[in-house]
Amino acid sequence: MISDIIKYGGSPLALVDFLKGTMRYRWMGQTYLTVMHWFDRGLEGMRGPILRGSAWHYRGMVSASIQQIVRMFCSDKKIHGGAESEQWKKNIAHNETVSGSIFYPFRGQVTDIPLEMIPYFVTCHVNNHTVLNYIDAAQSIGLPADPCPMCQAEYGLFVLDDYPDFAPTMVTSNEACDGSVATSVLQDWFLNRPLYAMPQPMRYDDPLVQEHCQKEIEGCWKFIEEHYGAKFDWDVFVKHINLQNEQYAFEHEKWDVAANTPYYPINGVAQALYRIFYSQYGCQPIWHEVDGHVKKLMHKTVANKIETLPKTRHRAIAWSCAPLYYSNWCTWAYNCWGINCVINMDSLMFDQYIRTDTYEHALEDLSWYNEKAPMRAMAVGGHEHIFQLWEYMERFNCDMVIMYDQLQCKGMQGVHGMFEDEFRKRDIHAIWVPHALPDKRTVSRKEIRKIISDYMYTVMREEPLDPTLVDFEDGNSW
Amino acid sequence: MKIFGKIIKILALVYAALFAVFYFDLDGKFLYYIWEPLMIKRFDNMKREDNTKMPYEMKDVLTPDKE
Repeated sequence: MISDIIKYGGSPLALVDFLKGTMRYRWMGQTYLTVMHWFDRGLEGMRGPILRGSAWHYRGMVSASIQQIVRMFCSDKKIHGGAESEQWKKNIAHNETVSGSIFYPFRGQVTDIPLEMIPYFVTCHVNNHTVLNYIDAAQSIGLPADPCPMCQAEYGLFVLDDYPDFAPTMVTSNEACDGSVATSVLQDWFLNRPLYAMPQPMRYDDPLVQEHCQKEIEGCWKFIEEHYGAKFDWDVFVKHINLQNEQYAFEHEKWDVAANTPYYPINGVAQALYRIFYSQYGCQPIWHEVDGHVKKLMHKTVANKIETLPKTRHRAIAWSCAPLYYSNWCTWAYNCWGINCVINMDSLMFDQYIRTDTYEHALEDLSWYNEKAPMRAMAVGGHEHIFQLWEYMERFNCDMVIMYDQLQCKGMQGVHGMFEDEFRKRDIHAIWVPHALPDKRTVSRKEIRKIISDYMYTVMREEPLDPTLVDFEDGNSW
Repeated sequence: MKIFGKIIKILALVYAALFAVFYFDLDGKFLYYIWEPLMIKRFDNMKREDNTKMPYEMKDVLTPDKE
């Protein structure tokens, strides 16, 4: 980790900035030491190749997190006495939900850094105590408590003045849903600097909106050219898109192994977090390094027919948006009940190769790709997309659904009853898991485990593999 | 030979210390009972800018001909 800080910071002096940032920002100071505990939670009960493969995924995420943290802190005005460094002038901030791929044409000229990916998203997984401060801060100034808590936490960072000031401009999005429009408005207010809003249509597969979306992306590129004096570089764009396509080819190979064999060397939580992290952050060398190691491992498990999760009783697909404070429920479900979470909804978004033969094709595909971002691709992009569950269930050979029930997602609450009907009609075992995304106070981890255990006892008539794991208290843990 | 013996002793002590940390979850206890409360106190008491005092003006001109 220390060598990563020095590598990404360009010199050992980056360690000083890292320390200053740690003492300045709650999401860093209160969180980063508990990262070891995060590894433990994500890897508990894993043995052999699946331990190694999942650990490689965590290694990739840690490296990419350090890259972002160091870039933010080294150019942060707040910890450098208000000075605007050369690096500050070259950085562009963007919502964590604006894909890094949008900035490929300017790589090398402008550095794109997602603003909330570390302060909000990663910290929820590593230490779920921190985010509660931001949710409460948002409500403390009179903003409503019922929107998605992700949006609340993202603007809560600004209410508490706990965001690093590392860039002169920002690009925002309405991803995942219209709740994020409020985040953009509030960020525009708090940041008080040039901001380009790049909203996407909810019903994204309407052919009439495609041209509009492409113009939005071109507008963003024009915004970057005007504010940074940077030039759209087609060759750099193509280079990064091709690397990304390579990565997606391997992701499809992984899905193939996960779907059709018991030899997949990645567990449910590592699969879910790594996939959303790399597709959202965009092409980086660390992803290719990690994929190289995982590819070797996966080819070995397949060739030698090594069953990576031998206690599997049920193959589950997790659908809708996951509880960020309990992304590691899959390791518990496997160790306690033999439920193997093979794939999850957010892993299946951004599923798009981008053509690079002409500018028009590339723009068309990039726009389509960006519309198929997390949550919008399925959860709020129209009921025909959320019902792709049946197709994926069959494709991944699953016999059970873990159906996330994000209590503050109006889009998903709207289709709750339709899902109930479909599950009954299709005779599918589905366990509804209520949660409030990052906020553990609404439904605790223990309650989630109880819901799953109750279903397994009463409906499935099964006994736990390890009864000591059925009931324990971890409400105050990270 | 004596140096070799000393190295073995030091390594054994380091191993015993690390095992004690693991067995009694001393690092977890340190983080939970000492580090995190200290950090919470620090960040709760930190002086911060009141961002809500930032003036907000809609600067975009939506229709140039009505300017």
